[in-house]
Amino acid sequence: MSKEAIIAGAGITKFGRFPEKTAEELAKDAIELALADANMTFKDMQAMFLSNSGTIYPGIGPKAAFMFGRTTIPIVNVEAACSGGGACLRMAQMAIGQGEYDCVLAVGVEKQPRGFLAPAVSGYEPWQAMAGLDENPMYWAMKARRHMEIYGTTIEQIGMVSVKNHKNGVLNPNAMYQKAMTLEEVLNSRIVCDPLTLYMFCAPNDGASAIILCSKKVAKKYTSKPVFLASCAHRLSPYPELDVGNYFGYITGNKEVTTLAALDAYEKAGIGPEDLSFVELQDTDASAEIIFSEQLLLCKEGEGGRLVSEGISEIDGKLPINMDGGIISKGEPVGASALGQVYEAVVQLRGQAGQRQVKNAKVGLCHVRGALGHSCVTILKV
Amino acid sequence: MAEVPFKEGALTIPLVPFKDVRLLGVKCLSCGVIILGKRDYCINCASKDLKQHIFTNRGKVYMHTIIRHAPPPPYPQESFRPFPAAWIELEDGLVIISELMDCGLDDVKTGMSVELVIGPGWKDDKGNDVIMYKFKPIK
Repeated sequence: MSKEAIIAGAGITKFGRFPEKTAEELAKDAIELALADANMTFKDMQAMFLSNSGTIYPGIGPKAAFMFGRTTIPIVNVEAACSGGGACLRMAQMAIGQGEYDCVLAVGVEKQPRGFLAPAVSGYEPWQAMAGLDENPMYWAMKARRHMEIYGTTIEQIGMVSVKNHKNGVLNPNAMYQKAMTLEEVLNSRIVCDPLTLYMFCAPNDGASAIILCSKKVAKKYTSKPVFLASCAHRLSPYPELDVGNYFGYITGNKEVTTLAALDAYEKAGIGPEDLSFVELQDTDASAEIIFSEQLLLCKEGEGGRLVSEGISEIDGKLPINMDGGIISKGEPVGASALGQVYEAVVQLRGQAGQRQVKNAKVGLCHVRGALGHSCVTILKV
Repeated sequence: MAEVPFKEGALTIPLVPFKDVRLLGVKCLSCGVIILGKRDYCINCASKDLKQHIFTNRGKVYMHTIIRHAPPPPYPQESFRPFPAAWIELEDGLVIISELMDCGLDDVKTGMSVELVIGPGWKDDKGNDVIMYKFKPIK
């Protein structure tokens, strides 16, 4: 059996737009916060994995680490689109699990221009870009409409996800948007791709997050509030993936990748959806929160809209979702967003989330889903 | 100057006359899925037992939207007008993303019957006409 990994430190920068900072500086800021949280120095790190989605330059990991002085520890860059941070944490977990290291650092960092992601980042071929079929929101909008047509999900329920996440974002000093919105403001904002409006989407931005994993052997030395990494699963989408980056498919009945990753994570952790105290999930757009909550088996297929319209997913609800405001209010620094969720889960499980605190938080799930079919599901517990 | 397909192996040859051109791909003789374009291995089951497949030119709208914000460059920003786009399910089961032409923004309906239209899309960097597909409602 592999060795258990414990989170001894977590750090995050504000997510936003920081033209004055380099990616290396953003990464350094998050790492410093994680090191301080664990009462460690960079010299305590024995290996490091860094997630970036390729918007900076290949191989940024070592340069980010060298901000703390030259090091000879192994540093590997990880890329898995919007799931990069999850994939990176999984590498760190395996490094602890196989027993060679006692302290491993997982870092995510991103710097992105305003607006839509560059076509190649999402896996589009040049002809898709020339044909104008490379606008990510169009794929999410089609799924949203289909969900509405098949299950009767309403545009108001989709809008309410955005209202909830913006309301939560007000309580999160690290969110890019800390402004509450009414349902009318969300529904009446400009339509990007029918039926989804501007305030239902997340925006790509800059930010960094860092997590320090320790073996059980040394964890006590660094933390009095250990958070256990119960499982970390990473899967790719089977055929078909009628989503961003793709242009054809065939209905096969294969499971959605989020469900595959979730089943894997639940099984490895010996934890089921009924055991969860809260969930952080990929709200790339407001309808995605509804659809992914079903694919994560938090509710029955078609009933995701009720989680928000019946208040279940509110911070004081039965199953809070995206207490930190989700990427709808934080923004999405692609390579850093998954570890940003893990940061929130750690703070919640330690009971340090202040006004965002979920009562009696014992078990949390973090989920990301990105281009090229990547999805990661991480389960943490105290 | 000549005509070239939007993607090698995804359209039948010759590329003119346009009305005779069909989408081209393979069918997996092992698991039965159909795939657009050339492949060595089945995308679903990794079998190498693939047979060329010429797709039907008719289908139905499976999922749809209207793109109201210009797609990012290199898509020409100046000439952008909102347009409907859809995943189309062809009669033989292929699902393919497409712009819908000859269709009002408010007229797209899920399940609506559509047919393939082949024509010049844009020029490549050698000045060739890139032959692209779209779908339009069957009146």
